[in-house]
Amino acid sequence: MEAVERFRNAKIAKEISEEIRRLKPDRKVKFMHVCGTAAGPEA
Amino acid sequence: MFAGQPLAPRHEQTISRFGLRSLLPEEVEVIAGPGCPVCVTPTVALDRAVELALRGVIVTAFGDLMMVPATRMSLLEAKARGGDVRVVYSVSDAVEVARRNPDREVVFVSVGFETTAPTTASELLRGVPENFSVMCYHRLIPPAMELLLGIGDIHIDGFICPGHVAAIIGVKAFRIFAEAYKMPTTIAGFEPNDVLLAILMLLRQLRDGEAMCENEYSRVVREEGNLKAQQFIDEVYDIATADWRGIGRIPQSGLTLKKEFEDFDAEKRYEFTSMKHVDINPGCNCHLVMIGKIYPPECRLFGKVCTPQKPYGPCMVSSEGTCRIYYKYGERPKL
Repeated sequence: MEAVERFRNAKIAKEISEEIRRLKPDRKVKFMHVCGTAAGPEA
Repeated sequence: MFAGQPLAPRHEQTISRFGLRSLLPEEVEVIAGPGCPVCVTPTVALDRAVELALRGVIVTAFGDLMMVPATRMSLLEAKARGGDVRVVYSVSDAVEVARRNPDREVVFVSVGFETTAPTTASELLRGVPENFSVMCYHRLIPPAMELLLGIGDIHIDGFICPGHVAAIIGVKAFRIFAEAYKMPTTIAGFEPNDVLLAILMLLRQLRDGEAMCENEYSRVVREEGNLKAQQFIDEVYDIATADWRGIGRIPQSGLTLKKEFEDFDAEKRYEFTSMKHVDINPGCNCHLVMIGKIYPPECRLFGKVCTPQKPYGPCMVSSEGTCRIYYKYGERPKL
């Protein structure tokens, strides 16, 4: 559980997003997520 | 900390719910692809399930499917008209319904990707009652990704691949995109920092002029995947060309039951009325949302004619549908 908490930690998110901004490309880039979720009982 | 509630396992939900786009520079865009199984299930599946329900068959399905618009009516409308449609949490529940109703026919609408296919396979291998059958509409993610690469005007610079699918089929199944197509690829988990890390990994690849398949979700995903689940899939299904709602026919992208299991194939057990199945209603732009060509608010029907209470297109139904997620969380201001 502790390991998962690291992936929800806002301080770490800030560090990663700062690193992302440092790596900002000089052109527009587009990433696609293709999630493939399991259908579930919701709705 | 981010709100620590369990997350629905979908990247778009994580991105929208936690406003991750607001953390990204304007040069970095993240779009949703065809990842919602409810959205891509072709209307023919729903039309046939509705027909069976109205003919007295017990139809079991995941709740996500209930409100999905079909050609004549949704499963929920069929239930309102007297059809016996029951929401189940798993295929095991559907088999249990069959066992408890030996004098009735029970059909399970089996949809989803590599994540749900092994569960249905497992039940069929364990043995199901004779009054049980399956409408098999499982779809495979990698062939859809290959199709997306061929759509010239989308211009994808990197893929963020689904961690749970990779948990089943392994990193190896996604290597083709880096190795053959030279497309930067990461496999990502579903916590906010998983997604941010995956984006960072892709940006590093772009900076270095590389195309690799990296595994951000290494706490779950292994190179070979889940061999037992793969064995179940291999034993029960054949791979076939399949229709995806709003996208069309994709070679080698679907699973059908092998001949040994055709006695439990609802589409072989029953005859269906011949009719024209309408996947995308006039004015609906779900097909463009599904391939990442537009964002949901760019559809004129979004939030007006098409809402979660009265969905017009399939992407507004499920909590995993891109339009539904945008409706719920909207866009966050840039930080």
